[in-house]
Amino acid sequence: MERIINSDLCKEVGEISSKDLSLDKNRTTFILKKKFRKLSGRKKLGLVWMILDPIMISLVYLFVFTVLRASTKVESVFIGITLFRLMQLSLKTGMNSIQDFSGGLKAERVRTRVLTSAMIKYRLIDNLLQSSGVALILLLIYNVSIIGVLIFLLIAQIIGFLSEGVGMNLAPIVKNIPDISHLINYILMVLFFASPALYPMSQAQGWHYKLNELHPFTYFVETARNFADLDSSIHNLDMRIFTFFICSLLFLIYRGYSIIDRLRWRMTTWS
Amino acid sequence: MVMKKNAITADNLCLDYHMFKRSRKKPFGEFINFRSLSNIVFDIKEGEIVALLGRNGAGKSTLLNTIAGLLRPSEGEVRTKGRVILLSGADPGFIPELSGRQNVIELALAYGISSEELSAFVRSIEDFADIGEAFDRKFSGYSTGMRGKVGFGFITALNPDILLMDETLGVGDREFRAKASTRLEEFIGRAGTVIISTHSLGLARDVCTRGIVLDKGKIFCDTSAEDAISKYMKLTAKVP
Repeated sequence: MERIINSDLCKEVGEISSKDLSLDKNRTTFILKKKFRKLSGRKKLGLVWMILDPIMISLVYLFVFTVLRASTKVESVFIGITLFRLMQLSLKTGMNSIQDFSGGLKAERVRTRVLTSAMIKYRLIDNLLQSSGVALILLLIYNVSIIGVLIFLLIAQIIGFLSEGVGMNLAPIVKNIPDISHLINYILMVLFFASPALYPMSQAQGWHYKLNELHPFTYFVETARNFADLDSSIHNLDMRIFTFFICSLLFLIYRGYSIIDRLRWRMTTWS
Repeated sequence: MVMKKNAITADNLCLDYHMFKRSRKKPFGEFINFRSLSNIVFDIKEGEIVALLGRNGAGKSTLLNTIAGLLRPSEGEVRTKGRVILLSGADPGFIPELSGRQNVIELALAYGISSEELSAFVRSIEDFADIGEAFDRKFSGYSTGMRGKVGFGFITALNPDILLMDETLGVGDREFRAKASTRLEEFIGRAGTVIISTHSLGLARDVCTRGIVLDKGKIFCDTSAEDAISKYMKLTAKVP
């Protein structure tokens, strides 16, 4: 196989053999395992923490709400916090996606499709782990219907991929101006309290309501609440805005994954 | 006589690093370009063993990384034929949480060793590294020497078409170095085409047939190994 390396690309020409395909598959598995190993580290419970974290955080806020005598339903908080957390984590993963393009293999260049495949599989598993604990609680303790739980799991996947896509589009800007990553952290913090993560949209009023109408997260979390038979304002929201968000975010996902090769190549000489 | 094909072709290769710099005039910083390689042109035929000589900072590592597809040229083009392995340091990508054996098994699959060859591959590295029961201990507890032994053993057990070596024999004790140089010679013999970036003129003289001397990112000379060594010595003798 011939490799052409110039300022535009690093491309392999010629047919990809079955041996190459199997090598790519092994490399994807290696990168995926490495990512999860990094997360579990030396923790005794390892990846179980990915399931426990959203539950623990929801419990902390539930405790705060009990002290404040707020009348928010437990299931609503579980759904809101889990989905918001997933959005936050996926966005950050997308923004940091250009930190390491070697895939951990230092002696040989890894094909971009291996990295992309590992990223997609990681996102899929991460979304599932982050939402499965809460899904079980909703199903077993709060008697949410199976359809409601499945919709929650599906929305968790959608939010995860959409947020990572947005993050990947921000990645080159953040690499150029690292201060933006700092600002995004503050914006996310404000959004956490302002958006209907901790409470349903019906509790927002006036400009607060109007602002949340312009936040894509609102539409996803309210849909999840609606299917879980909880207080939800999804039917009062403008579906044209939702459609616009979906189309824009889908475009960003497509763009995010398709620029990896170009970005990866450009970044090699940045320091 | 059969004409050998080109394994590596570099055509007018230039490479700039883009570095972020803050100064009094630009307190928010700016990106400046630093040219590391300029107008590099050469063809290396299949089976050739080439010494890459030059002072520190001459651009040897940058050139090897560019040929390996790890750095983006700003102008020009490189073409390589076959599998390229870069032996730079002795870490193919070890994971500190795993044992030496687990690392070798996982990395072997990721570097294209088939499951049928796996056990023989692991045994060969275990025998070569000769670190005893430590092979089954956590990698994070290894000394630098032990890491180097396993890493060097691993990379030199692979089968590349093009081997790029960047100053590698710096690890291990005296006994290991003797063993490593034998293994390296076997490895070089097994690989189709080799470029060795080295300061060891003995190695360049013994192993290589051709020499390229780099100076300030440009080709100073591209000639026989013996000639390249003498020109490199003259070049470095000028340094006060």
